[in-house]
Amino acid sequence: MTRITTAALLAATLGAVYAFAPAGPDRHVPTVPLAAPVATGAGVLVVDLDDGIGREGLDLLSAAVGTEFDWVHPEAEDEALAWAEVPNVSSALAVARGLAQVEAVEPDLRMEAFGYPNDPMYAKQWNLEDIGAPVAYATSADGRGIVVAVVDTGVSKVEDLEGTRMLEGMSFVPGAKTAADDQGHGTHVAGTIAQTTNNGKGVAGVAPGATILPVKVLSSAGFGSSAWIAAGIDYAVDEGADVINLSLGGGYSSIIHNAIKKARQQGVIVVAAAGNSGRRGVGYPGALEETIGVSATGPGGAMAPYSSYGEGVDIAAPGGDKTKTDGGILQDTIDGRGGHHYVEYQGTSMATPHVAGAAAVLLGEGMAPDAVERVLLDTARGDAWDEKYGHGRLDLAAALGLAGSGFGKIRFLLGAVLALLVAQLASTRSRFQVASASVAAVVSGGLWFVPGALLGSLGFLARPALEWPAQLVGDWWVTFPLVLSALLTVAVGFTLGAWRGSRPLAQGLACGTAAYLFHGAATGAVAPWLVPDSFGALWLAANATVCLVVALGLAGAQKIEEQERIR
Amino acid sequence: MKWTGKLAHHDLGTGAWVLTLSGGDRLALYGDVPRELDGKQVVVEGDEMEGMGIGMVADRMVQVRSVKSA
Repeated sequence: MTRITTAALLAATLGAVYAFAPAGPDRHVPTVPLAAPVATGAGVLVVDLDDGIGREGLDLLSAAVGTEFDWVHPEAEDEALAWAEVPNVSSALAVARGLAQVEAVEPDLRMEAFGYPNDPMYAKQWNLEDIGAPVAYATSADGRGIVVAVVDTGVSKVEDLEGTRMLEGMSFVPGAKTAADDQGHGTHVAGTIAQTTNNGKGVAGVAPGATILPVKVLSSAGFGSSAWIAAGIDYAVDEGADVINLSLGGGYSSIIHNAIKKARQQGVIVVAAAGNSGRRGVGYPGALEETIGVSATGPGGAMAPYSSYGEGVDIAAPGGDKTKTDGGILQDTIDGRGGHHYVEYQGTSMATPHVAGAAAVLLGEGMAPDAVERVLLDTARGDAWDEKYGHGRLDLAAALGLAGSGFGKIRFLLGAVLALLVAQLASTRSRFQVASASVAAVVSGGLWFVPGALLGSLGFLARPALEWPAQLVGDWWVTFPLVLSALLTVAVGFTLGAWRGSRPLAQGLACGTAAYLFHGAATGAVAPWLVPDSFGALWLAANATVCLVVALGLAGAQKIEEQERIR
Repeated sequence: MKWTGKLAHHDLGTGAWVLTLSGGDRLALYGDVPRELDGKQVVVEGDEMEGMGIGMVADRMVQVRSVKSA
């Protein structure tokens, strides 16, 4: 083994130690391109009124600008900090500046500059900040293409759900002909999962790109028989649900258990509430091994007083605590009078859709269901499992970080090591080895080590090069079976691989693709579309092996050519 | 069936009613329950059901036919 190869392998080993080391408290926060700024017309205006002016100042400001202003937070009344969404920021700004009671006024720069959603009530959604949803917004990871079944009281397309993708769904409740909500619970739950976000209206959701499948199994009283619920779960699976949200519970039911088992066998992630007894003892189906059982936390992350806890809790998520100011989970739902309203609810029912939405976001990034479950639990904020928080509090930002840069580091090293070993086997020259290893590392791991600020609008380069075309053609690319195959490697191997100058490129592509696919097979980080889950790993491993054979062939050709040149 | 116990409204989801029996057992009530009886000793008439609900405050569930002060 040459010295340079030994050094490279040593560096790779050291890098691997780094890649596998615990992330520690310093969580990775992507600095990738941010969402487009809010349109210059409408926007949010923040006004600092004279301290202590109270309601009178708020009314004065509202009357002058012609828009209802409110305190930024109940605690902000003393400082008299108010805000409102206004149809025209510049004209409202001019009016507000003319008022003697105004100390300072400006557009809400945080929302505009950092790509936060422009939904005006987003500021009250502490729950979305708590789980790190802004990181998903900033990276455009929104669960696009993923179907989440809301098996509940039904879902109605209230005003703020208008832009949300929604299927027709089905009702299993006798007397209810459609899957429309006649209770309010299911619509609220659906909103937390996939509320239309960044639409300048109302509130935001965790996975706004996901598609909601409404399945009505609970009556207007909020109760459903085991038969209705089991049938609803079966239906959701048949309709292609990727995630099933069960914000319901009760005693053990074997037919519901069987339906959930079948769903899991089909690769569907089932998320269920732990229950609201405030006592030890998790209700069913949250307590089942096949479900992700979710307990509830309030603002600040403490366990909510009503949440059930004990064996069966896998993860905790914001369910709200209305004993605290603005401590509930705010969403848009039906008001029972033919209209809709934004209302705060609390309960493990409200915690569950945060996890369902997070699962949809990760699935939308191309991860396999088993990997999604593992990543959600592994990245949850907590140490060892405990009966209140399970593996910890949901952290979507960390989960996306692991799915992105964490996997990227491992793949990067795998690609480099594979390429070096293959080239070493054929005893090629060190220049070829280094060149092909560099290409392989980038193909499988991307430029994850380049600071996002430097990449700027080219943030997608931090992802594996194999995924770069998705930036142009769409996210379907990362799960397309022919992309997750040896097709490209074979094609390039027989073309670019034929010439000495481009052979390192072909060799690097072969080894990088092999590393990417082997890693996917081992971890479930990628799941080929249309390939049954039970064959997904086999598909990836078989194609990775073909890539490796091509790489060996290219290395052999390189060695023969090098020997001929010496003669 | 009839049960006698203390009625309580819980601010969970869209609202949940619980009847705590003298022995400590809890029943989740589904159906129309007069709000003014919150916290009072009541007699509940209804049918115990097999299934699940949104309240998740107790394993036993009752579809309420009537609720009256005890």
